[in-house]
Amino acid sequence: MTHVQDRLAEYLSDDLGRRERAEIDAHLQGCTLCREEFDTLLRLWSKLGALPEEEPSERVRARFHSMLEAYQEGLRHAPATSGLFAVVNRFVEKFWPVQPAAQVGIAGLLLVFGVFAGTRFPSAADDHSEITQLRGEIRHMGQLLAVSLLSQQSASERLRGVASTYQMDQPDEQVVSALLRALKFDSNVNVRLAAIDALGKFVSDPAVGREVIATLPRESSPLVQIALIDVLIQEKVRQSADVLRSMAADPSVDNAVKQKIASGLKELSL
Amino acid sequence: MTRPSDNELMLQVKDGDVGKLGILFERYHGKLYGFLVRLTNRRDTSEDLVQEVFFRILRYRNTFRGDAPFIAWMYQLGRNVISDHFRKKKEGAPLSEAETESDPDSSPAHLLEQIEQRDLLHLALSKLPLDKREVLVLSRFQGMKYEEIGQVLQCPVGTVKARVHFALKELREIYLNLSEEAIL
Repeated sequence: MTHVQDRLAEYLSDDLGRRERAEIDAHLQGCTLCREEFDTLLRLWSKLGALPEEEPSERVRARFHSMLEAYQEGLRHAPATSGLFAVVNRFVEKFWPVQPAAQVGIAGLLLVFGVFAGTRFPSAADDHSEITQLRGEIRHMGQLLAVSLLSQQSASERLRGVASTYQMDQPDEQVVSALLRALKFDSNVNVRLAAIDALGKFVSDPAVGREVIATLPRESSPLVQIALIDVLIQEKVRQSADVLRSMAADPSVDNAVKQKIASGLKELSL
Repeated sequence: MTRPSDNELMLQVKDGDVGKLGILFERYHGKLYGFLVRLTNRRDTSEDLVQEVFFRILRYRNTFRGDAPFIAWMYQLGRNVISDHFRKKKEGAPLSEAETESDPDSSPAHLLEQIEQRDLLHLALSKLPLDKREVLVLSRFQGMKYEEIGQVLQCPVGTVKARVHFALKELREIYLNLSEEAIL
């Protein structure tokens, strides 16, 4: 039998079948080289096993439960979509393709139709300006779609609107302000959370950063507040420190949020 | 009454019964903490990261598909949290002060030797590259089978075998070198 040095870790991890173990046992009986290797690895393996187990403190449990409560509270505050608008939206939703491929397909068809109509019925303006205009329109088509989805009654449509901005390299002002509107006024926690994710890459822009920071103390859901703080800290938005400090001193602010602020301020000061 | 499986509970969390996450927390937060602390070498940081992992479980609960075990998903989120953490700050100091639970039967000299050995092993582990330390921690401290580790790392079992093998050999080298330095 060939040497078994390469299989000793598996042997020690107890990740072998009975037959394979027996084979290795038999080989170790007769091979000094492998036996020596085995002995040193076994000693190390045993020492690793003898390291004391690490236990978290009781603080971890308390923090988890306050976070969970804050999350549940946030979900309770998110009103369910109902009423006539919801019914109409669900009806319309049936006809709106969910697959991005189908959405792109529709956009493509519209484009072909537009180009066809443009060549068939040329306007008085010169060709060059028409093409430039058309290009501009195409570039903004996705952005307009996002903005229009963001103003829908259905939360799932608005979520889709936020998601459609993720891939944009340079969304225009209209998209950013629609995302900020969603963050400030959307009644649905999930939409606000998604808007935070989408805005993450723009908070380093001072104007966007200011708006996001201003939202923080007004936000009703601790969960959304925590997500906001996460983004501000991750992007190292230092001008958020004052608002964070005043929230830390505010007795009405949730404890989980305060804990997040404390760790966030530490990171900001590094 | 049969105990609900991890995946059953997580699917309920996904469906909006987020309170069920409390049961999963009780089942796994200790294990997760053990994983994080062996990789970060810091207890307070690891407690923060446990919180972060469970927060991400809630926040990204809609992405749980249930086709792999919950625990694999949890460790994947744990790995992401750790890599975010290391990206943000350079951290890698060994565990402060080795644990020194007293053993009344041991002589002071013997006890000292044990503590020194533990310290050396902690130090050796902390010097092992993160990808190797990770497989070793999952295998030795988390007691996971190679197949389960493969689900966490999203790689074939053969790769896990090779990684554990090389990790153990490298740890031995580091440990022996440190032991020699300690003697000199």
